[in-house]
Amino acid sequence: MKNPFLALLVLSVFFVLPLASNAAASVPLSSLQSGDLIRGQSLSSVYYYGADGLRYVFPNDKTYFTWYQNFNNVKWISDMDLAAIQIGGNVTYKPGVKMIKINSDPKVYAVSTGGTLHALDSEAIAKSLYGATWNKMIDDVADSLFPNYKIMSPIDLPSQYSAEAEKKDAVNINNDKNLHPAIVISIENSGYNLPTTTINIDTAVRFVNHASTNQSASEWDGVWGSGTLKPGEQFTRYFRDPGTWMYYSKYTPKETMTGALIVK
Amino acid sequence: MTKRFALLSVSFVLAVACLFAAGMSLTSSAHAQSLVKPAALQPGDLIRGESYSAVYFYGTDGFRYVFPNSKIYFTWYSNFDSVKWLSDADLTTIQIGGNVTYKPGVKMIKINSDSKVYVVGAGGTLRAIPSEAVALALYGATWNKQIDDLPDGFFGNYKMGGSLEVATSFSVTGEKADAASINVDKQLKAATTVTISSSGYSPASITIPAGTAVRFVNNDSVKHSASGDDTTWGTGTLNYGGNFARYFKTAGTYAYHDAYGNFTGTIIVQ
Repeated sequence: MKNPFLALLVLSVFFVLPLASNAAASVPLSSLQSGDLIRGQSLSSVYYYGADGLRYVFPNDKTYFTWYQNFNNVKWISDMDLAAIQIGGNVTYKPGVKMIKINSDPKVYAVSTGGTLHALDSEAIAKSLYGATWNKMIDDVADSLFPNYKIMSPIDLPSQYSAEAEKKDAVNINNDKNLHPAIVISIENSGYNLPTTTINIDTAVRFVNHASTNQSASEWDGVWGSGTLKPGEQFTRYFRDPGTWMYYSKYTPKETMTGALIVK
Repeated sequence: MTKRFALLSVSFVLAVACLFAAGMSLTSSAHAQSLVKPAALQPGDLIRGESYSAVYFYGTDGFRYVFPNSKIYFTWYSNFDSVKWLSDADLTTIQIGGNVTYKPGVKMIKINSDSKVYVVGAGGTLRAIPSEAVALALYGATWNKQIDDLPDGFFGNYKMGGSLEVATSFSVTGEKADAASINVDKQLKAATTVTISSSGYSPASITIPAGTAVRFVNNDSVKHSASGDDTTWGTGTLNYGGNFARYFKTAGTYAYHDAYGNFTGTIIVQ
């Protein structure tokens, strides 16, 4: 990298792991646990492996270091295995650690659970929450990452927010994002193992192809679908709105392989 | 197919990375232009402030939408000629609503940690392309030069649609034609305005469809707020002329009050 400015740009966009220049051995997918930090072999981006089986992106190192102090526990997996794990979203700042702002607005926000933001109404409040060095504890977040956060009620009294309590409550990213294991629907040669399934909204469903041939779980009108799943492959999708979905496999007659998903 | 996609991604990563860091840099205009006031803006305008070169889309809902990088910008616009300049102070009064996604049909996208290639439909809906043959049928012989690498951090802006089984279930020109503007693509609707005067909120009770925004504007000479009774939301302190908008996505009745007085109001979301 001849141009130092270019290097800086690259660093600020992609989250580069600086230490490990020699590759570590890959661990098998099956050994991953919810809450692990993972990366592939070719690219240095580190992800959080969520309870829902999806990987979550650290959009920059500042976000990473609100949650972790080092990269010691990052597990390496093969590029192919990494590609098989879908991206679930971005990690947001750990609550209570820093205040954030965007450069096109002077408002300063305290971070709470799940990337919720509370605008601080005055300097006095910032000071009482974060002490005399409050103005050194504000990170600038890129405009394009600001939509990862939700704006909630502003803080006009110091008693409405406790940085220490927020930090303590944010045990881990699974907790912060309220991630839960996905409901697994197995695709067998004889059909879907749970042909009619009722789930709560905001639950993930994982379709795993245990059949001996290519299969899919495709919504009848093509609104969503797993695409072709080879034997052993899987696809996960979150269902955010109530409703009933009918789906089928494009590789098997509809009568044999049809499923219904009721989202409540 | 997989290998070709993977190779492509390497060359794109650097290109994308260099084009933006925190915001998108407008390269042409080095000196400031005459400023317009927020009241003069029209939905669909492109706007920027004085100090920072980031350009935003001014939506029908009165929010500004971020272009995460210049590649996304250039799927919608071919230049920066019609960008309107606001003072920095005025720009801060316009809240950020979200990120602009790729214009449907223009490019295929992928992320560098996965070889899957997607077409982009309305509202940033992605549909996986199952084979090289389908990509070829949709985008012609140069299909492999029409794939952009999207940084992982922006992949969350997109929704996953069903995969494309056959080329005929997607029309590049049809998608492009339907995406008349970012307002259409995002289905942005005008916010319902509630004004605050010395006599209270007007209208004090409103009924709105779920998924639309309410804008509170303080026209009184003293400070007011609209603070949710359940304390989960609020405008914060609004000075004279100040405004704050919020989306209500879930049906229900939302009662609110003025932290600086006795005013009360209700929003019914259907």
